[in-house]
Amino acid sequence: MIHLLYLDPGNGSYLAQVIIASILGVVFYFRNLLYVVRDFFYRLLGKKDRSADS
Amino acid sequence: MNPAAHRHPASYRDPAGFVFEEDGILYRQIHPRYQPSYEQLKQSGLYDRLISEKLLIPHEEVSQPNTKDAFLIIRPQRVHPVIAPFCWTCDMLQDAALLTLQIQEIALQYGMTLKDAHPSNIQFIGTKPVLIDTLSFATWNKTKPWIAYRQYCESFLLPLVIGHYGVPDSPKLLRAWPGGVPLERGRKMLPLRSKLSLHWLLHLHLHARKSEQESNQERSKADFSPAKMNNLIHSLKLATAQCQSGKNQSMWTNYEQQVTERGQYTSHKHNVIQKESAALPAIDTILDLGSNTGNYSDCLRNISDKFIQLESDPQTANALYKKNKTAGEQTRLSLCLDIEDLLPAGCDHGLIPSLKSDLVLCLGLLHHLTYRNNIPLSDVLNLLARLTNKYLWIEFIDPTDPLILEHFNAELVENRMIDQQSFEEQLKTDFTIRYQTKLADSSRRLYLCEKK
Repeated sequence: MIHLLYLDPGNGSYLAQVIIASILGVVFYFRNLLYVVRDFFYRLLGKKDRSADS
Repeated sequence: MNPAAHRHPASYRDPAGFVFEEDGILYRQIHPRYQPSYEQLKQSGLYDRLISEKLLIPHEEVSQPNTKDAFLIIRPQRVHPVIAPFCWTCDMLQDAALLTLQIQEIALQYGMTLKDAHPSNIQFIGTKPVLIDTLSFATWNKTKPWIAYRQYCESFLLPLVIGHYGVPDSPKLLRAWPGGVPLERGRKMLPLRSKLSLHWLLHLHLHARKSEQESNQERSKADFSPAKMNNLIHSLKLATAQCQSGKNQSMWTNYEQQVTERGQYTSHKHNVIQKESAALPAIDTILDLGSNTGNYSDCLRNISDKFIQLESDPQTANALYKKNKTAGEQTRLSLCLDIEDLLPAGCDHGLIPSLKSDLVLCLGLLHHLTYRNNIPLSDVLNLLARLTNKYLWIEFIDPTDPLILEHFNAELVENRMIDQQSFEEQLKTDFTIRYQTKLADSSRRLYLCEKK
């Protein structure tokens, strides 16, 4: 379908995206892990689950 | 029907089709090579989903010419006025950006992706942004990155982050760089502390550095995955949402409070405009020049609900957009534009036909144009005649008005000195004066004119 895309694929910053998306994968993984741990302690202490806020 | 002969001059990039206008109706021709993508858009349910959520303008299929140039002709719902993104406020640009990402997220669920992400694909119907380019969708190749990523960063994210750091009219950068602010140059406009935001650091700073080093060979190796795509879009949403360009205020944001100190002047002006406008024949759209807080649009609600509000001060224009948005106004379009831009010395970009309205309000503005911007009165009146189809409300401010003496350069005022008589004479070149009155507690006069 590339022939239908009028932006030059080279201008889509392909390699930069791969690097950035990989970094984001690590960041979001640890962020989600943090939420799981935090929510566990919230539940343990009987506090409101705040994961939905983020 | 002869689409090629009536192609819209702004529709030339997309190889999937083009927009054309015939007998006052807007159509879009779809080329045969876009047929698979168009059918996927319709058959996957994506089109119905976007229409039901009012994110894309609907269209009717008009004919199937089946020629070598055209697979289908569609008639999209017409959006009026169509305005260039550099006239938006920061909050408008942000809402358009978030809409683009929302559409991309939905499209991915249906196996499609946006093949471009430019603000000019979005228009505002009142305060609601909507995608107007039906041919923006392509089949999603799940192993490839987002082709429109760089375009999104350059035309949405970067101007918004620049706006966040004290440039409230940053959408105007899209006038200098209509395709988007080049990352390499734009990131130099950002302060060092912008690197403290992870998402801005990645999508602007790191993106600019890495794409400078990118070679064709490395590009071909660039493998992607749906999870990476979702992370990327989610991060772009966070990066976009954290821009707070519209938080600052200017001296004009509190103008409403200042004018209450002028005795009966404001209430008299309101009453006169409301009463005399009610007697006018049917009015479709009202153009409010120098609208400030939109006060006078409010008092004309009984004669029309369609308004275009122009304000040159970016913070005030943004505050007005926010006010209209909060009130759920679907027919009020507020824009950040200097009247001077509509003059030949400016760069009107064909805006006048889009702004042309049945009634134009030019209240408390004339003295700024003549005494501050040094525009000859005849040029201002000529512009107003081009902007109105029928009527004009104009306020004449005598050069002895205390505010003129206080705020303007005395020499400029003397050079451009306009007395009531010469004002009325020049006004009569293009207009007939229907009504005039002196406003209470001031030396100012109000005129209702009809275009000749």
